[in-house]
Amino acid sequence: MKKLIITILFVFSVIFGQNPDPKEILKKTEDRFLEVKDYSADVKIKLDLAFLKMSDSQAKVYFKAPDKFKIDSKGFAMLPKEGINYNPAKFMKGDFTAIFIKEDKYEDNSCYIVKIIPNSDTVDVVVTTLYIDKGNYFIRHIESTTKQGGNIKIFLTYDKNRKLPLPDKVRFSFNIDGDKNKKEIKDPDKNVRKQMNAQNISGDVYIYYSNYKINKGLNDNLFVKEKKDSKKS
Amino acid sequence: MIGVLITTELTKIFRKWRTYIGFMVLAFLVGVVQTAMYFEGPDAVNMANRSFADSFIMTGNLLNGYFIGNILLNSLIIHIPFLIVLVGGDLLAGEATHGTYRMLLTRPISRINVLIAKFLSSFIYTAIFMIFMFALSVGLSLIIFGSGELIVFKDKIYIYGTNDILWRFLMAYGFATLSMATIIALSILFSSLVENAIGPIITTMAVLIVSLILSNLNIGFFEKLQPYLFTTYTNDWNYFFEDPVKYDEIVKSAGVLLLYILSIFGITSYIFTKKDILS
Amino acid sequence: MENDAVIEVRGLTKKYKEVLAVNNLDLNVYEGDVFGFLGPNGAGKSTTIRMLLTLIKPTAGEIKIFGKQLYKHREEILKNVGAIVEKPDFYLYLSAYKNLEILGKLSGADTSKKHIMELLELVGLEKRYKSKVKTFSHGMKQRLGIAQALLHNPKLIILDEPTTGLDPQGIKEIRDLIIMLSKEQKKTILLSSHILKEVEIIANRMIIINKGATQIEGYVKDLLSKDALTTEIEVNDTDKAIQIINNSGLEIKIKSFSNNLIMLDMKPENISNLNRLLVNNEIEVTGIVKSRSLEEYFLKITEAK
Repeated sequence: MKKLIITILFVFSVIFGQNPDPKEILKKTEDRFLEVKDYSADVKIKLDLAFLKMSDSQAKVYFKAPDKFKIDSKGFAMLPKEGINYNPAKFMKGDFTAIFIKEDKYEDNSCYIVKIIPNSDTVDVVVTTLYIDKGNYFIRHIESTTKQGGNIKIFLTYDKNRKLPLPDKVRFSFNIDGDKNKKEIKDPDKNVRKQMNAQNISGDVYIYYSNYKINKGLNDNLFVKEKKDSKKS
Repeated sequence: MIGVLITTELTKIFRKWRTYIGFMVLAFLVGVVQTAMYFEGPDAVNMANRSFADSFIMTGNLLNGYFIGNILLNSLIIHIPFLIVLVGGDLLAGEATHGTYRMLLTRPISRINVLIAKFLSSFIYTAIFMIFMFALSVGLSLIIFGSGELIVFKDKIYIYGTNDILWRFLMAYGFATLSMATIIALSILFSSLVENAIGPIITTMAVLIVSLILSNLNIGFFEKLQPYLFTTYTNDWNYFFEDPVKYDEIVKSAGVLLLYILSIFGITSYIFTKKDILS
Repeated sequence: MENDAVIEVRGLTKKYKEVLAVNNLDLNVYEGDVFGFLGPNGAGKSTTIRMLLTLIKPTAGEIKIFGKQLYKHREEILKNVGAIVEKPDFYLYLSAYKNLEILGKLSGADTSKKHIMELLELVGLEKRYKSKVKTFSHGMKQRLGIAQALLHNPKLIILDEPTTGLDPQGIKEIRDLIIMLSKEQKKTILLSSHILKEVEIIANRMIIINKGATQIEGYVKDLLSKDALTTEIEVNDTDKAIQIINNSGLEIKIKSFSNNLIMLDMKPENISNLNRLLVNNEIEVTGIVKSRSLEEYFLKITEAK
């Protein structure tokens, strides 16, 4: 099935003539991202998920290249794991095929649409589509489809004057509904709810970034605990 | 005179050692759970989080006084009736057992006033008991475990901010007090029929158990019966932990419980005013 | 001339299924009376007293107290009634003082420490005012029972077996108290008792009931004088004395005799006549004793019907 998709897409790319090299596009996008050595920002997180209702929370996030991340909050806060970093390198791990689809407008921005298809059968994500700004190589939109048929869409919005690919607003749209054999359980409150598991998430998460402090030289010690957490995940 | 009667009844209630059994048992249970959560709590919270821990990074601590308070409320509330009927079942039958009806009902006070005072003082006792439970379950838990967000599992997972929790507990406890008041009223009704407190205590427990089972049986005939059983409504304090809060359901449930209390009082009045005091 | 009726009972009846506990009872208690309420066990005394105090509802009949229908003016009437019904039971886990304070408040009485202590002193319990009633003996509870009956200074006091379980000293104390309440405080007292001697000494009026119905009612003196006394005389010559008595024409019945003692049934007014007769016939009379009369009267009334 995967091979068929690749074949069809390859044929299309050949038929429609001289297209930019997708790997080059991805490289340039990655290079832009690598300009961010570290950053900290205030975030406001708004969850609107089918299975979870939570009042808006606030936190502070810290990032240090290549993969150190920390979230700090006075109270409880939760952030989708996909929201840690938007470095396209994470989609390019292992053996993969990158296909240039087309150029198109995305929210008034001319974008390259590139698909990344992992060649391995063991990864969860089947295909990821990136909408990359043609002008500044910022990622504007990501769509991932999982093996189970669910999908995650990430919508990134940048301040007009932003020089580095750090978004001001990110919207995650989940529609992960992988387990078809969910059980229904009726609790004493007579509320039927589907057995909740990690494969059963739908809804939106909004993250609003502000007060960025970029490339200030964050200390590795700041991430010590977080590194343990990221190793776990 | 009602005020004097109520004060008298409360004096009698709180001078009996039997009254303190409920308080001691509750304090013990709360202490046991709090101690267990102190050592095992993080595992409990991880269990609570597991459904989304794979997809989200979390920070902050859900193991806090409100989380413990919620666990205690959910686990203990079903057992509270058995503690409060120890007092309710004795309110009238105890007078017969000890022969004090003769002293009490030859005073220049009407039997109805005596009964009103008995009911009201039992409600006051119930409220004090629930306040005690709140103080231990929530208050003491907050002192030991600190404050924070509250995670609640209902039709979905709710995580409430710290400024959105206390009022929910207060309202839930308020409703639960109404539920317990209905149960203690029932025990007073049974107490009016006999001359020994053991009978009404056991009878009320039996009625409660049967009614609870029937309220939860999802079989055709019983589902038709359920709207008429008071136990169908006694757990509706749970609505205060949903968002949005279903106020219409809560008001309906509270109305049903109040109606039950009034009906129970009516029946008890009839029995008590017509009763020959032979003890 | 009789005083105002404090208790008027007409046709009082109480039926429990097939059992007629009180059967068309009439009785009157007048102001200032110490009214003896007598009857064998199961006669209906306690049931009647409970009906007077609204603990039991009559099946039929009318009760007026202080001239008012009992069930229409219950609270107003009970403000002036103090009672002990059978054995007095209190809240055992409370002290004597606390019990009186609680009961006093419910009666609208003065519950100041002074008043309560005065009452406790009256019944001899002032030193035990702090003790829990569960530590009290039966006699102490009886005395506390009287104290609670007096809390609100009632005009009518109903005492159901107030001396049961008391020792002779206790009985005397209660008797003296009742006499004081009647004579000094002008209280009207209805007294039910099995100790007939007490009723004979204290009561001025009485009723005997049996099987729930009135057997006889009236002034103690009148009732007893209507009937013969049992009198025991001691003489030096029994045979001659018996002969004289039989020939005397006086209404005297010889019950028994032995040695120097002769037991006679005779009216009280014949005692002096008999004495004179025997002395005039040279019989030495060394002793005349009127024996227990109310007891015999009681037994006679209750067994006869």
